[in-house]
Amino acid sequence: MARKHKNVTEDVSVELPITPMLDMSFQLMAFFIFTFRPAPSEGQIAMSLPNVEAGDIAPPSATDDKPVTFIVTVANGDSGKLGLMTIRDKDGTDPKGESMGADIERYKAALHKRRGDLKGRPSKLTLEIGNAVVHDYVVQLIDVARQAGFEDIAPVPADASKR
Amino acid sequence: MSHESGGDKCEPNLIPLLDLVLQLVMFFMVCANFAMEQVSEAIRLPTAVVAKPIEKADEYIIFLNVDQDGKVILAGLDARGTTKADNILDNPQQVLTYMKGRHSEDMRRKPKEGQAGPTPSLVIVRADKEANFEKVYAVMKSCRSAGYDRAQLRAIRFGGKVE
Repeated sequence: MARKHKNVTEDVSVELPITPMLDMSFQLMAFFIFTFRPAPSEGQIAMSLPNVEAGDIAPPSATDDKPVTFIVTVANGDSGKLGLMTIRDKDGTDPKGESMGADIERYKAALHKRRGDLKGRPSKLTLEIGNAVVHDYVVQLIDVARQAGFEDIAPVPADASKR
Repeated sequence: MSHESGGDKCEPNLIPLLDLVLQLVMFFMVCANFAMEQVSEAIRLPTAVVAKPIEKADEYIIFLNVDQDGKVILAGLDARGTTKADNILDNPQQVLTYMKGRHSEDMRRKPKEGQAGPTPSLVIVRADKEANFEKVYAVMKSCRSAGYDRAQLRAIRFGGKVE
């Protein structure tokens, strides 16, 4: 006897178990929260590596104008700090130059003044650093010089034999 | 009017909660950095206002982490071996030897389209702020002697977290 197979479609409700999924999500989130470490904001200062004569922070000027070169001599201070600083024009008449003490504000003012006097002429700054000065202060000097408008900055050891 | 309280189940809707948790997980996944950085966390960088945001334009980079004793720490992909001693360059002569080796590898690379020869890697100098400038300069001079002329100094951008 043939049976009629009635295709009865019953309503089937599919329920996803959300709770275990949520639990796993919390586990993952906890892992990433514990391993999350915000990195300090690191920046770059582009430079050219020192050549035989002197170290250059920027490539030499492509213009024909001979740049006016200023030389800042930095003596050793206590515990690697900045000591007595003097600034002089490389081709100037005063070999001793202007004393700026160990004050970075006076250094900043001296650079701004000289940069202003140049009236757009190309310039170069050579920093002759004492053998005990730490890198932090050298970067500060470069930083201030860049803010004053000097692009071509050459930090070198004061001892010429170590250049 | 009678209110019949049937056996109604009251379940909180977990789907929005799961959605939010997954959003948080995605955030932390994006911020997480599983790649082994070539930077050494022992180096405390100086601060500089003029430090520009890092541009990841160069494909080939060499990180030189200079600690406060003037030793160069190689990390990540630059590391030469598995022990700590293998990855420390104690003096400028060792730096010169290492960088000459890297320069040779760079010169064996296939040049990019349109270029006559391969471009040497960019040297990134991450010097500790307490490092003696003379030692940092010696490292940079070794890099120059090895044939590199492009470099970057790294500093914490003003306003970033300073360690």
